Amino acid sequence: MAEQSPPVVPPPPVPPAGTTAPAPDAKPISVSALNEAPSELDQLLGEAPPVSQEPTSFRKGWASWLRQMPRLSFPQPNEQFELIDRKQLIALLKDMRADQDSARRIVADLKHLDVELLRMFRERDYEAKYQQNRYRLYQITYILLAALATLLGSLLALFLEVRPALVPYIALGETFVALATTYLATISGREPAMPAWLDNRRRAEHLRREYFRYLANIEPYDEVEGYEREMLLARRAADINRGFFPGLNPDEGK
Amino acid sequence: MNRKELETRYALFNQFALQDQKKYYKKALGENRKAAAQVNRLRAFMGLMTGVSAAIAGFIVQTQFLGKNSCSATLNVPDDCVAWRTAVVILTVMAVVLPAIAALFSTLADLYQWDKLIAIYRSAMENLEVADAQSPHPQTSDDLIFRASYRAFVEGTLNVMSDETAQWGQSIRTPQQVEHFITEEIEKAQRRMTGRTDSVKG
Repeated sequence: MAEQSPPVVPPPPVPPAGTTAPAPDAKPISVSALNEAPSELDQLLGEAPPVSQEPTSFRKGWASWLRQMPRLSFPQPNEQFELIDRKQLIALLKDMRADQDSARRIVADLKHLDVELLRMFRERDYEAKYQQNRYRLYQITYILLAALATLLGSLLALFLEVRPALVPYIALGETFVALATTYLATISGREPAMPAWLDNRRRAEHLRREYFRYLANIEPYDEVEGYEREMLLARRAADINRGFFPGLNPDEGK
Repeated sequence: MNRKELETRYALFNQFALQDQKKYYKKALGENRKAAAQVNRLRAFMGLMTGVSAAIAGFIVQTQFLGKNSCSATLNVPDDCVAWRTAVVILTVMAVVLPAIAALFSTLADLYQWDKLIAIYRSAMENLEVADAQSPHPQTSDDLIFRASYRAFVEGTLNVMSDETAQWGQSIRTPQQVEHFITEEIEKAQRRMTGRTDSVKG
């Protein structure tokens, strides 16, 4: 994690013998900073859960395996979702004592990312979660039907000698299980959920990485400037969104 | 881009990409570990209860239903036979139902692949520490060295994230039991609809 400067600027530290001298702009670090009260940034980041569109309060207090079970009604997408919380960002920029020009350029980058990339990420991330829920809902229904079929089969074997009168009812139950499974297989066959889930998740995660690649200003964004840099992001984000991953496709650029 | 801006962008990336990803892996690792352990305990408990039910049912049959003056006798049937019969039926049904529930939990574990995910997230966390170790030091006076280690740090982190996504994608499989079940049930339904019954069990 980045070393964070204390609220009050301490005297410049004396580097120990044998180490390189600090850069003129480098942040001074003192041992006493370790004992100081946590800054506003520490408080904000310390309590923050990992960034996700899923609310942290969802099924709070439930057993872990039950928390992962699918929902019957899926929530609407969160249009306000951001990969970087604005409060945390402002606190970090203050903490870093970022100069005006740097802060302005970073904020401009974030605004551009919002327009060109984040909306696509939100859609892909939401769609991935939606399809994951759909896939698991179908699979768990199949698992329940399979358990029911096993149960009915065992009961049928059990009652065949003890209570033969019950056998037709159990056989009817088995038929209903088979029909329900066929019905479910037919409706889940249209737009299969698993490939849609995996495909959307792959694109969403690639978009997330591209977001931070642009913000960190590393290759290929460090090779161009101004509107060319912005256009490069727009082009790459659109490519990722359609499943064409820059750097991974052999036909790229042709 | 000047050194100060590079440091600010490093702090942003470190906080909102690397640290956030670490938090996510840690949380996912904990959640998956707990879920795997809980489902395994439930499965084991169902197995245990199946054995216990079968053993008690066998014991009741041996002690109450064998012999001249037992519940299976035609004359001098003891008064408490209704209770013993009910107990045997309940225990036998439990011995049939509980393995089906245990099988349900086994298939659930196959669907969620908790054990595989634990291995993926653990490895990703360790690799993220390696990427973190490349992070540029603010006291590095040489801008070129700072820039090089910044780039290695960012690329390393993004690579770990990319590898984890690829491995996660490979771990997602529909459980074979479910696929077999669907095929069998569709065949069964087709047989019933066309009037062929084959056997009582079908």
